[in-house]
Amino acid sequence: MMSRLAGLRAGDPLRARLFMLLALWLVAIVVMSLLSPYFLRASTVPYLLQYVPILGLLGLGQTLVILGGGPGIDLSVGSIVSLVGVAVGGLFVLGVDIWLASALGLMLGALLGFVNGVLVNVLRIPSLMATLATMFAFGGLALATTLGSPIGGLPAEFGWLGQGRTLGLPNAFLFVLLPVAVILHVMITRTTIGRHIVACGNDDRAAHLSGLPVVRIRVGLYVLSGVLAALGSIIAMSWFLAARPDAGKGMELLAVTIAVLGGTHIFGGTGGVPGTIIAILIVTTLQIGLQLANISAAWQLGLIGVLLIVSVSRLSLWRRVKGARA
Amino acid sequence: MASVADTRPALRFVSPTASRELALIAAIILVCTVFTVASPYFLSVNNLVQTMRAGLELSIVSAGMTLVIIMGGIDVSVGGIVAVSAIVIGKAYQAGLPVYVVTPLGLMAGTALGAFNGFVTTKLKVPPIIATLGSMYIFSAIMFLVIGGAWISGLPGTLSPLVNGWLGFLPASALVIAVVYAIAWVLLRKLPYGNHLYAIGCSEPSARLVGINVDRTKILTYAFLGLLAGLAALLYVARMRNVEINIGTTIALEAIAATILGGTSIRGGVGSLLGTLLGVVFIRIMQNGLVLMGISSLWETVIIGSLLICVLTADALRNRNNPRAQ
Amino acid sequence: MVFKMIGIVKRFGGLTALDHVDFEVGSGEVMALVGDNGAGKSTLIKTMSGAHAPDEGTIEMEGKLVRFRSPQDAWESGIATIFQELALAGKMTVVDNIFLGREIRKPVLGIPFLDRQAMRKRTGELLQQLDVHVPSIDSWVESMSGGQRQGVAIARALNMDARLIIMDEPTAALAVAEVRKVLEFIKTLRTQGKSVVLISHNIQDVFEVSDRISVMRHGRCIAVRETAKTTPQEIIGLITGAHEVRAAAS
Repeated sequence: MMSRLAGLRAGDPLRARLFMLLALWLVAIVVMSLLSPYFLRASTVPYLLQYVPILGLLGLGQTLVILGGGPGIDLSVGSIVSLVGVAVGGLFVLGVDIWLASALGLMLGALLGFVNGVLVNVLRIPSLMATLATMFAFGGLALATTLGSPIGGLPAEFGWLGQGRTLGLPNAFLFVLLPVAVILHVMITRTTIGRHIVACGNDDRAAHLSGLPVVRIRVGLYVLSGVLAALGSIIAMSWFLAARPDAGKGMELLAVTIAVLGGTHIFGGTGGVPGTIIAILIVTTLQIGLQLANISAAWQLGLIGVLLIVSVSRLSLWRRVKGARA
Repeated sequence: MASVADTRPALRFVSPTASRELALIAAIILVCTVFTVASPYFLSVNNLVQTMRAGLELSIVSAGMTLVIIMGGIDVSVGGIVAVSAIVIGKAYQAGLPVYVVTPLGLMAGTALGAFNGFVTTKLKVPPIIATLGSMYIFSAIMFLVIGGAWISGLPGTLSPLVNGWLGFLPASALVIAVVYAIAWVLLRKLPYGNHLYAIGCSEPSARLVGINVDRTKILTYAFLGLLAGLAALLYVARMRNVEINIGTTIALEAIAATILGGTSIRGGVGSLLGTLLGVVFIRIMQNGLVLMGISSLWETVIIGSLLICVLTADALRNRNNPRAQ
Repeated sequence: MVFKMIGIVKRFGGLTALDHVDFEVGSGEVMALVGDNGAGKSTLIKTMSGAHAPDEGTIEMEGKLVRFRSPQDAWESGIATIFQELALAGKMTVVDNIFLGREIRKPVLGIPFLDRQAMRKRTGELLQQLDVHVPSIDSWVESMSGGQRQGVAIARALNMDARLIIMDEPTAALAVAEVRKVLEFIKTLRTQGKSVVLISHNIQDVFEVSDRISVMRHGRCIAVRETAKTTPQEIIGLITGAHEVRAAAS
């Protein structure tokens, strides 16, 4: 036990952060249950988990992109969600089977992610600008081609993913988010490719000189981010049984918030799945809790903003505290 | 090599952003030609002046954004600053305060919010993108909490001559834009402060080593952007006579787009106010022309996004051969 | 003594980079600072130039106690530092770089406008003094060669009319002819009565221009020798700790 604590102090920052996040989540739960009697019920859990998958997938994608360094960021994920939704909806209207269209949608997500990857890593355009531009382009395309109106009329059985439940838990959570999270976590922590990604984020010159295909790895991360966004889009469509051209609006910022709150360092090299997952739970708990307590969504927005700033500035304060003790 | 004693300004020395400015001028001419052909209403004085008035807030904010980006920073919360400043202004008018009290109040509100951004990014050491993302959430939250979904309407248009008026045959808004850009230009090119901005954008550690007070310069620059946002809010209220929640949603991204289109590098260290102004002109003319041609304005985002991608790609290809230190 | 550091301690987390270091430079003297990588030389001059604040110890400048809270303080006390990475802004002109942080101003109604004319004139003078040739004083520093950029960095230090000039590996990346210019320049500084602290790996350069040599090892200043009374072998022995090995072996 003492050695574990000593390990904490000696600075495994990720571990320490996980503990802090769990504590934060507990605080959030306590506060929310104080705010509303409806919160601490068994039915709240599946309700909460309903919201988690879409944002969760986007947050995980963002975690990967930021982890790979560069510095990497993907501001276009929200627009990818919208555009893939529009494309799938459009294919469906043209008569393509909805599940096939979804599969094609995943490929489109990969393609859009590939575009981002090339712009940032091959042409070396700073990721902030490049993905800002693609955010405009993709999102605008979604809106312009549909003239702003959603594509409805998706078949009811398509709703299995987004609306259905198995064993009381939402299908999207059980069969999509959970497996994806587990796979990504295993990939990052236990496989060589995961080590390589972290190496790229830590010091890309060193990684490059060690023979790692830094460019290819980073492009791959953007492709993955695109695919995960497309997956999120499909879940959203399945939930609402419609493809909204502004489905992803604002999601990219939440995705970045979740990744950063979860402990992923903005310049890469540090971070991972568990932190992101807890961060999503925190954010969703706040969302649901405030909703149930009938408190304006504005508070939630402001709270997330404060959390974001505090969680990143904490880093430097934390280091200073550690330094004083040593 | 020229002799060391040759201290006359080198005649061959051309501003590094000149090629981009020329390209923008050519693009504007091209686009105007297309629109003139496509619609009889385009080339009328009335239409052109209206377009310029529509671009008033964007051009003012973009000037400040240019300074921030040259310094190596960014601010996505400007829309929020405009919104909160507008609320302060609206409430002040509603309380019966005269215009010569409301005006400095609005400007101070904007400056304070901008200074907040500067503080978070310097003293709390939060990267500008995260800091301003967080503050954007916070400012939006404040806006929602104060107004909810309602509007503050029926506000006095005391300042509207600045927007709609004429000074001789010159539209007043043109003069306002000219004054703002003149001040920004003096700050950037005629004062030591401007050199410090470029230095920080080039290499912040080097700037610190030569004794530049980096933190103070940064806070001042973000505060200046906030000041301009406050000014934009004043003019917006004067023009629209109300405050509603959609104010400022896209202004940050459009300002960034205009600045980058205009030749300022997202990495900092290089920039052009003239280019930014041309970028704003281009964006607003595109918007105007598309509307006149009956094309949905939704395509505008796609066009700006694609243009940004082209511009960034062109920059990247041109710099391929320079070994650029990150 | 123009400059004196007594008992300087600097720690970074658990690492003690400077362990009770005493260091001094006389008036009109060239003091070389040598030592292996990681010995603490860079940390020492960063402390001298105000970039780091020492955890313990005092600094005296011309007999008066000083505390540098920032590089600006050091500049104002008359210490000019030429860092190894040069600290130049690549996308700015020669003129702008030389005057960065100490621009010549022409106040109009209280607003400090840049006096570009005066700065250009002074730049020309400085470059001539140093015999540095650049394509144009309006060209960007990043487009110039290593030697030219070194020249600009030296010009900037010269512009400050400093009492003490610190140079961190000034000849490391230069061609032979350019190295010569730098060494001549150091000698010129001495004849002007200025003091120089020179960090260099190149023992030859050290022996050519310095009056005394301070050797650092593992964060301590282990020896100070007069250049005329020592040999390259002894200095290298001190740097590598050969004498310690010999002492342990015997």
